[in-house]
Amino acid sequence: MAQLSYRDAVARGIAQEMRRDDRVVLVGEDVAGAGGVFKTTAGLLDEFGPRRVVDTPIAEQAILGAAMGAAMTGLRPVAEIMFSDFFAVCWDIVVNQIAKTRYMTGGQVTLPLVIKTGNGGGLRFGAQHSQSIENWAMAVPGIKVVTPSTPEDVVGLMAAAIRDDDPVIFCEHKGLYSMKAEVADGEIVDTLGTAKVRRAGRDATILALGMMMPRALAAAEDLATRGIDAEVIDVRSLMPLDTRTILASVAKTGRLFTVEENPQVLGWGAEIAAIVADEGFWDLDGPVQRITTPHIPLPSADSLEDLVMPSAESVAGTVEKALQS
Amino acid sequence: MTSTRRQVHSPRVRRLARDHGVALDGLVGTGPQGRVTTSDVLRLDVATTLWDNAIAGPQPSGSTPADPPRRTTAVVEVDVTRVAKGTHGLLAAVIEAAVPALRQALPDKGAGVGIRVVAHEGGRERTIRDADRLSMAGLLRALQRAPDEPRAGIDARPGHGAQPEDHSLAVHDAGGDGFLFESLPMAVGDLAALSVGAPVERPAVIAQPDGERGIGIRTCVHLALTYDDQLPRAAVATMLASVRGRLERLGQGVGGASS
Repeated sequence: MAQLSYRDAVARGIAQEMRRDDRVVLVGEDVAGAGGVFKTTAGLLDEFGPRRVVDTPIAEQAILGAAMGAAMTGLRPVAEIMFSDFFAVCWDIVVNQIAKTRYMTGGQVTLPLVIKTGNGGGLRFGAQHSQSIENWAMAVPGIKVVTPSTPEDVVGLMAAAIRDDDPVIFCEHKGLYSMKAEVADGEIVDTLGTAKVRRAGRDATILALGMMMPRALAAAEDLATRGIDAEVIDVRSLMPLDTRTILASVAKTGRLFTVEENPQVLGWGAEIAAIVADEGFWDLDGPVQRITTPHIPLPSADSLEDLVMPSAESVAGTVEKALQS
Repeated sequence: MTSTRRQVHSPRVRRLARDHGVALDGLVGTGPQGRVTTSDVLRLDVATTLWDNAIAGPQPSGSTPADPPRRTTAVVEVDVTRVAKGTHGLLAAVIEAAVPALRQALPDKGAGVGIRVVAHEGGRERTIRDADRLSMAGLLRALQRAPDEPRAGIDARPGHGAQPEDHSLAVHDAGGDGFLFESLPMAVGDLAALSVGAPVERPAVIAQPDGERGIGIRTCVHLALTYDDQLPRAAVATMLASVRGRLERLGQGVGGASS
């Protein structure tokens, strides 16, 4: 057990799988010589060499095209899209090629590849480098979507994503790269499609992922001082989605709140609210509430970015007000 | 102009009220803006039951509503040497034996009447609906699942979602606390309460394969059934004999244990 940063956990997870399986390769802009612009791939070139850790030109479609071809011909590539905003320039290959190949070949061709990406805001990167795209990704049939919030989950879910035979979009939250936490020694392999109850409670269920997780936990601790015992669930995986854990919690608490970094329209919270309305309606003791950013691009100004993103204070305030009204 | 606020109940409250037979019309609850809460429904259920008993008038037996119900406890010793050991094993076996015996003993054996078991173990409570339709494996699974939610200190009608026509048997693991048997309070709605005592090893007279009697070391428990006037005494005797017989014949054939 040792302290590990979220950014170092990315490299550890990839290295763990590269040592285990020669077919695992890494491609992306500056992932080799520079160790990644966010230093999430530091040391991998030295250990595994330039044939397995490959720098590419600044061309997202080419990165994913290379990864797709490698996966079709027997490798298990990890490709990096440096900022998740840039999925917008390569959705065609993701949605029309990578997501559909297994279906269109009747299962004859699988694409075991991981697209890792720096996701989310809070770092003053402005509107074009701060988006949270997990809700776009979860809407595409054929893609799995993972959103870890702790260093240990980064290692274990990265391993699970690489070992999975389907394409996985692995959303690393840029605002969490510097966070540190204890991580178990030895091999760590987690399970896709599983949520984790980070804090048990009986009065309300709060769902969060990525950088909203620590904020949701802080909100729950604040609520506890005011007599509200909130349960906090780390969703971790949007597709597959662990509806069993979510519905069981709602059955216990009767109230559901989602904390999302994306705009409210068609966010992942909307999908979960619909699922709970379908399958957990009679457990609800009040309306599902979504705590999100407004329907605007994230602003560049520090004060405005802080204003629009959910905070521990805004989460606690929303939950308290809902339970008292 | 008079403003009338539409009365709103959450889905959770509406379901609970339906399950507990509580009418919500016109109620003002303790929640924000007078909303009825789940705790209100549970409190009302207890109050309604007590009120119904109070206004029911003298019973045919001559007792008055104010009298405590007449309850009796009968105890038998059962050889459970053949019953599977381990967590929940004894409890599941007792429930599997007791439920059909209780159905036999009931005055009304309508096909639509289910039997609900409320299992109490170490302060935890699990409600098993349709216990008479579950196999031993199903009972074991039911006993292993998470305990019921605590219900804010109200111990009136055990179990969520029970149909009003269901009969309820409370099964208590008295042995978990080391008791040989325990005479138990019955909750409103319970038909009977069965205490399962701590297993003890003791020498017992057994029938040997050659037909002669001998002494064997057997594992025995006390089963104590607390019941009220709804169950005739003769039916209770039949029921306990049936439970004992079923438990002692578990496994291959009849071993001839007797006590």
